[in-house]
Amino acid sequence: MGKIEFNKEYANKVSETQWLKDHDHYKEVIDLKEVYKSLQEPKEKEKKKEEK
Amino acid sequence: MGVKNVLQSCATEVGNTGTGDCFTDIGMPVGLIFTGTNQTFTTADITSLKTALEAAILANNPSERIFPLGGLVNLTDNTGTPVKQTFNDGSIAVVKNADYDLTVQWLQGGFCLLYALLKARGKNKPFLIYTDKNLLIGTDSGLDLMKGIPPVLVYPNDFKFSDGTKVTQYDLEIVFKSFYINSGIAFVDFSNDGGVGYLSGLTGLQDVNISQGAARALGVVKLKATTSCGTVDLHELYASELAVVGAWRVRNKATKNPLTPTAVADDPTHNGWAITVSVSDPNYTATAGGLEYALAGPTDLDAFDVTGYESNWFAQ
Repeated sequence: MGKIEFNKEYANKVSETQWLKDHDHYKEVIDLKEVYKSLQEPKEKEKKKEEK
Repeated sequence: MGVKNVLQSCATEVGNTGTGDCFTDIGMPVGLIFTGTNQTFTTADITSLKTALEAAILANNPSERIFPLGGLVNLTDNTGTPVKQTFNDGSIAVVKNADYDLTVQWLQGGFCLLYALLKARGKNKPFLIYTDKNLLIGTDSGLDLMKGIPPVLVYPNDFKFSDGTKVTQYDLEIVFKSFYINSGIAFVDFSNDGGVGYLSGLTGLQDVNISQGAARALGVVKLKATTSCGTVDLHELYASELAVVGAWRVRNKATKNPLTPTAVADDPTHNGWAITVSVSDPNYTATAGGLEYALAGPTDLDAFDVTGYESNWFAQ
């Protein structure tokens, strides 16, 4: 399988369960849970902590 | 009672007739650029003009797009002479000037180009002309602005078969009022800015056909993309560049409401790409042929280094 790009904005908008369901067809070739995690942007609270 | 003079001014302007060693020579038309009806271009700054022309070729919206037609050969000038009236005392007066009537032929692009132009037959889009003397010619549209020459007629002729002594003939007739490029002329000299080489390098978009690589299974469809003319497989050229979410659009065929692609993958098995949308998207439908897929608009594709293409919408 070649290059694959996931929509980061979408991954941050829906629940993990929904996202995993949407991309179930890739479960044999990639670790979907890891990908989902990697797409998550820091939440507002975490962002503020980092800024401090 | 006096008679009101409706002329605003009767002052006569006389142009000085001296010229230096360098003077403007119009030259022979070697290319046309079709424009929108009210599209104007700056004549004040060539850098800005170049930017505007290049952006307009890639405009996502066809009504804001320009359509270059370069590599013209075999110009035929069918322009008549001014219409004159001769009086019974021998005096002669010019009644009106004849319209320009030019026929231009092309080799590069052949029938593909003719087929594209036939779609616009009867639409009479305005055009800029560029010449072998490096001039881009339009008509004056106010301070530092020019626009396309409004045509009387733009008519792509049906092709003529090769007869064994001549190549297949593809040509186009343009007719327009002489005023627009004589007293109403506006032009920009590209001699020091790439000249005719730059202008003829402005090429139009290529149409791309999206087709099925494999049938849609729930939210995933596998698509191929090939150029309409020449059937060049874009996967051979842009497998990685087009394996990005922003390079694709999806919409509901019935409502035209967009869906968000959630993933795009290169699909070497089918020489194409797998596009995923969420089945929980409110615009999703499981109906066969209920979703339409297309490449992103030309401007958006250019951002992914895929330049000069526009695709159809493909229902799946």
